[in-house]
Amino acid sequence: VVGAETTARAAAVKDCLASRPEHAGLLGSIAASRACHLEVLG
Amino acid sequence: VTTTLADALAGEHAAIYGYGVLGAHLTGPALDLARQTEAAHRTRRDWLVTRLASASPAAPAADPAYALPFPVSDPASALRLAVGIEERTGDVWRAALADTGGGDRKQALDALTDCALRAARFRRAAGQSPGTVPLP
Repeated sequence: VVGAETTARAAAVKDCLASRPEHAGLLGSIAASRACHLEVLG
Repeated sequence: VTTTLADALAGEHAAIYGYGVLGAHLTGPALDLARQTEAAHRTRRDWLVTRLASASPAAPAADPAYALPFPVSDPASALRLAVGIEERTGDVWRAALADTGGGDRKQALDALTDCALRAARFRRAAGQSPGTVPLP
């Protein structure tokens, strides 16, 4: 799970930074959520 | 761009004020977390002040005081306020994502992520587990 979350977070960050404005907020929330999952998982 | 970043600056001003209030009701690790968080908000504020130095209209200054959403009188209410501050500040940074690009969007994403992480930490400090939310 940690590996999947790490990969998913990196993808969300990359896509957020490159996305169209209408998708940036959602992708940013996904990236932040993945970061929280990783912290909880340790 | 400057409008949403100005909103973020106003949010950071309010966050810094809030930690000045709630910190008085915390001790131990929770107080340490509050101090670290306040310092992080001051760093974001300083970045925004520099970024908006030549903005027109001028970047917002801090208000002398801010209305709190509820009375803060003990550790539980202090932690609840900290969670609310992080959620609200995260909201303004999320809004900035759609209106920025390049380095500004990276700053906004880092700030949103930091707010989400700190909100989760304060929720855990308040006894909630795991303290995460689906979409911060």
